[in-house]
Amino acid sequence: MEYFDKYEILANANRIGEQAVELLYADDCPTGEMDAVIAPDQMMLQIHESIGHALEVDRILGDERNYAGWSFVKLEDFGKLQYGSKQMNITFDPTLESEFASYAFDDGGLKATKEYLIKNGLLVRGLGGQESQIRSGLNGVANFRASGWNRAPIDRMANINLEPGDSSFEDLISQVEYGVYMESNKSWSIDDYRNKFQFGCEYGKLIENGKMTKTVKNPNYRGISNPFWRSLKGVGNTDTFGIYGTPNCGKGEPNQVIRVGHASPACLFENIQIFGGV
Amino acid sequence: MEKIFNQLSDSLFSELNSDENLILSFDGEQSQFIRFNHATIRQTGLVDDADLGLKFIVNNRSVHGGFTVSGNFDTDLARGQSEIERMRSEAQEIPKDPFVVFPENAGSSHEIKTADSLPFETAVDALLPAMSGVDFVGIWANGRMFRGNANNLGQKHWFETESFSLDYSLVTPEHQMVKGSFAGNDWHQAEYESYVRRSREKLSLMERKPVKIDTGEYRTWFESAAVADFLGMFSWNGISEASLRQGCSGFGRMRHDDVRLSPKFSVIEDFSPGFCPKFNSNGEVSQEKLSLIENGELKNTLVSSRSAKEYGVESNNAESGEYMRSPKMAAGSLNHNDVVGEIGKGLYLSNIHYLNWSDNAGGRITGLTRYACFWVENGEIVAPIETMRFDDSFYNFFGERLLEVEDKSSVNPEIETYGGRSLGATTCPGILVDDFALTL
Repeated sequence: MEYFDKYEILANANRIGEQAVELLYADDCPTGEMDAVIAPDQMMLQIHESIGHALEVDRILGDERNYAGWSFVKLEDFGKLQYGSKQMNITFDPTLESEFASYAFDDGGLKATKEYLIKNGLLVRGLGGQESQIRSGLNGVANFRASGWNRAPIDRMANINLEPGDSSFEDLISQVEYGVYMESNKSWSIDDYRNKFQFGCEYGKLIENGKMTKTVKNPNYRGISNPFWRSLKGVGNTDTFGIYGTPNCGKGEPNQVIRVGHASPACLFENIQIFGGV
Repeated sequence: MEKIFNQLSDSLFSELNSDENLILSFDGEQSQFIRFNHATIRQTGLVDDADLGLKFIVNNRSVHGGFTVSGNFDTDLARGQSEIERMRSEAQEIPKDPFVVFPENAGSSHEIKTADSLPFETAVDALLPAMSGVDFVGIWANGRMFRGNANNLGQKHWFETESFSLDYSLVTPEHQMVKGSFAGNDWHQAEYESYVRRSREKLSLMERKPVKIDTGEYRTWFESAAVADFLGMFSWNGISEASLRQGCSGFGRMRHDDVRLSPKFSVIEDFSPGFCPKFNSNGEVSQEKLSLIENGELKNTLVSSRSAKEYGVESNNAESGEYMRSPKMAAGSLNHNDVVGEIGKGLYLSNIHYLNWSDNAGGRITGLTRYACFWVENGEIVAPIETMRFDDSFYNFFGERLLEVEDKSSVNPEIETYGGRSLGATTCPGILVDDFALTL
């Protein structure tokens, strides 16, 4: 994270400029139930909101009920709940130097290690530091973190990633008869149990008969976390992998802001509620 | 705190060369926080904290800095001197700022509000007995807050206030919840207990089995707290002049297409209650009242001095982010006792959650129902509803579908504590709306 690749930045600037011009003349995203191929920069938010926050053990224990909310995940779900399709593998890994929320120990002194939260779609571990592990009786991770000296540590995300699969980007697109590819988040909202979400992107491409065709603007989609992740049909390979994060993850009372990292390949979801602008 | 600020600012201004300007912005608090879960103490903390922001201007270049104030004068002076040196050096490396805002001396102000507050050591004993036997979760914040601003031309503002807030939820065994937010300056134990009693009565309504309603359009009542959340969206790509000029604002249709909202809808920025200081981080003082939307017509946007320079318009001394600091919506004629009858068949929403623009240009906002939200039929509350997502345009629910506005406003204090306790409040009534769109 400590360097800039000048040529990559210039290439991105060129791409974004061209996309902005395309959007000036683009039709609105179509409305209906169809497949979606979601780029890593939007997958970041999908992981953050519908997996990361939902698996915070202090949240499941009710600490957060007056602010961000509760969780559809219950303590008894660990080891039993099929969170998503078998292609879904989610890891917690603060040891990655390449991501936004990397550390060797959490604020409780627990050594950071990579752990699977969801393996082959099955929920196996929560985001609970030592305190939450004692309160809940569950195993957990090194995630007891405070935003600064004037806040108490609570369970936070670090680097939460969706592990790559084996599909190329072209493979993912080729599986779609009619759908939308979308990237660049611009809107996000999810309920207090981390169930009903609605996300919007800036740039979309219509997919017709296995090929990306015309540009569409205002691509939005909505769903419910558990069924949505079960509709995960294809996971991109390392060539489609993107590393992102946010410096502004808010949680806790009094409020705390921390950095989190999220990385993901491009993913294909089937039969998603998709819609455009007004 | 004021003495610390005065000493520090006088010393830092003496560090400047004759062609340099410096604006100092001070944020401080002496607060008690108690976090509760399941009607027991979860975490506590006393925070005695202050930050000093510095804006250094030389040769039409501006650089920002800041540091945590320790309270030890020598340490703080050294930190300030170090920041000035850094900014002086950086200013030589950056291009001229064509819209730089220079400090002025337009007069100083001094406002200190004291309160008969709840002593920190008695807070738990005062708060918890009223919550006996109920699943109570929430956050208590209490204490003094400080804001200061000064510049090297001699202008100085100081604002100091003392307040408390208990923001809480009461939860039924079936996970239905009621929200409460008891806030003020002077502590009155009897008022607190009465407020909690009303929350507990509301909670009893939540014990009825929740009903699942379909997506569609419903006649809907929004309590004041929900309306305050909608108004809060105007501070984010809404009422800002810069946002409008950059094409990001949902107010574009009002500005460019002369679209009007309902004649029943009026909003002003109103500093007269003193919820927050009138001065901004540049030390500029806003007028006491500024009409933003009057009878549905866009009258003024919020214009910072920087936007004024950039776009050639007059500043109304908005904060640099051009967000509302003390908005007030005009009351209407609907008495709260008549609300359920006026709904007839539809929704009664006490609170909404996690709002975001789903289509800025169309003014469309998405979010969710939360807490005490009910299905109403034949003019009576039937049962709480399961959580629903909405997605509708403020051009509808503050526009032609706005049926009635409550005859009384409530004060919804700002209770966020990111970085430190926030100041400000949104004063607004409830509204009755036709055909409000639920989508999931």
